[in-house]
Amino acid sequence: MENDSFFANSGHLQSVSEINCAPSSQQLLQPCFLNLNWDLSMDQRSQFGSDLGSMVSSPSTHTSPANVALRENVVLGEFVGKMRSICSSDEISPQSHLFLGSGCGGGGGNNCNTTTTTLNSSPKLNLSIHNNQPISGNPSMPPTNHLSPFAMDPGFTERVARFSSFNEENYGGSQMGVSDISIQDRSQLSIKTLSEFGSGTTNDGQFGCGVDDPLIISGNRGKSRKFKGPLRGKTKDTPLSSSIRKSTPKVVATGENFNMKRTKSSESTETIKDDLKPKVEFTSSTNSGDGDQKPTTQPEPPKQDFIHVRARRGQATDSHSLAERVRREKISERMKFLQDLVPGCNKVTGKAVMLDEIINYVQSLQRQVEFMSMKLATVNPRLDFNIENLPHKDVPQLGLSCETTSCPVFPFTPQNFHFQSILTSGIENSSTMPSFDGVFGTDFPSQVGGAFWDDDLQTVVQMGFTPNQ
Amino acid sequence: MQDMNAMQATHFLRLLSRLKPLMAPTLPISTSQQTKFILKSAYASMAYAAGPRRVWSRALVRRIRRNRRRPTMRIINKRRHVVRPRRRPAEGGSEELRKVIPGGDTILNGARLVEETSDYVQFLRTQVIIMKALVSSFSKGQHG
Repeated sequence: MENDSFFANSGHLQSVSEINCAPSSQQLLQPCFLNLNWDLSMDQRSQFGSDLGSMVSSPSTHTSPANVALRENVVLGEFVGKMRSICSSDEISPQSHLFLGSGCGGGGGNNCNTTTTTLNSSPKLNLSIHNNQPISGNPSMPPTNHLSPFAMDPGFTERVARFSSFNEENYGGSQMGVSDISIQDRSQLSIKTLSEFGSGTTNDGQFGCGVDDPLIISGNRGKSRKFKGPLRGKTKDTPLSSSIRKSTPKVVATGENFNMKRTKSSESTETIKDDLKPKVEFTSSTNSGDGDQKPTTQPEPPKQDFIHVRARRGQATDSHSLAERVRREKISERMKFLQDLVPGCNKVTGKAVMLDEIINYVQSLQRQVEFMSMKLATVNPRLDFNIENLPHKDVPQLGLSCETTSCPVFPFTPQNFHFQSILTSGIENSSTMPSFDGVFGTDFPSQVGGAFWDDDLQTVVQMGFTPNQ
Repeated sequence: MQDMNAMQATHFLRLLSRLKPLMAPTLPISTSQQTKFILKSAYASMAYAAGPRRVWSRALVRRIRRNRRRPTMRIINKRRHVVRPRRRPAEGGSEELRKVIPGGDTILNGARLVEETSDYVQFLRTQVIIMKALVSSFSKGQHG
């Protein structure tokens, strides 16, 4: 199943980076954190530092672009594959090329702060997926690369949603978990986020399109209103599509709605983005007939740097309110995810109460950490991690849930790693673990920001504990 | 995904193992100091596992640094202190949340704040689980 392949890919990437991380972490952690190893001689420490630098630099240069590029390739390629398989008309696809081209460029440009040079090339490589299939390609696209062909995915909307969330998060450790957010909502938002990619090119910001979107939306709304002012009223006259859109926000549904609306009132202008329109058409299988007249009804050349949002029935078509709505939808989407994280938040309705719940939960977690650290300090006053008197039991797993029955103890000798593997296997099997699938999945910061991060953490504890003694 | 937990756990354990060589040659450190150290190392391992892309992890690192550097470092250039961004009125009902999340008051975007919160919560949960496991393993070990 593609889902598994997708996660397998990310898992593979992670394993790759983990392999890079694991040997490096041993040496990374030695100098970078509390330099309390006063037993170590100075030259040993300097050697660690040099090893650290070399190790950090090499993974960061090798794996991070590869990781991100691979990830981009996988995600974008699958996504594009889906789009292609669904859309059959040729005239729409060049626009999609353009769109995705700009989107990928925007996504790639937004993506990395540290490795911009290496990554700027990679999004373009992604687009070569298009060339695999017989369509009049975008002349700006580079020749095909070695990307494998992607089969048609029945879970298309899921992919779109995931893809949109990835790019929304700016590749920064997307946390839009797979399981929780409804696919329809995500896919609906994905349309918007796809259009955001175009704005990403103009933004060239590090935070993706989050902050600038409302401005751009509002700016464009003013612009588009000039064009479509007199016809704006018609959007309210057609209740069908908007109401349906409100009730069942599916990508396919909206596509069909758009289509129906078009056929019925072709002269009514939408405030749909031109890039958005062909996208929506892709999803509906019945679009092929109407696709021909879509380009004719497009009033203006595709503007890829503004976001058009359709005004719903009964809601203001004011530019500011539309921008507000988009922003609110984004926030609510993330709040939904957070809601699933925080236990007991599902029953609560209302933003304020939920916020309070979340704050309480975070504070309780922080208090728990503090309490645990106190407990650790008392339970093991010497913190003798190398004590051999700890009984060594051959139990495979370390149960980590509160109702742990048997808990093996391993000496913290050179088999630290062994213990940690047990620990982590216990973590994996623990029922209390949240689903980290989409969260940490594709971002492996130790490679990307490795140099910066380790340097920071190195200086964090350089002072060591001695001043406190 | 589990690699992140593994990284966090690994890091935390290594941090903790640092404490022992420090303590052995010197007099035993008081429990409170140990607690502080463990707490700091817990947050540090969390921040390390999260990476520099997160606002809260950067803020955590800065906070730990500040605690460490205060006794030893003198502010030479007074301008450095003012670099910290001022409080901005972009709240939208999330003022409390910003107080709780490290570095939250620098986040303007409400959506970004929620995102950071969820990430922070996840890492916090992992940390709690790790520490619980450690505590239980140690207590079991001691009591046979």
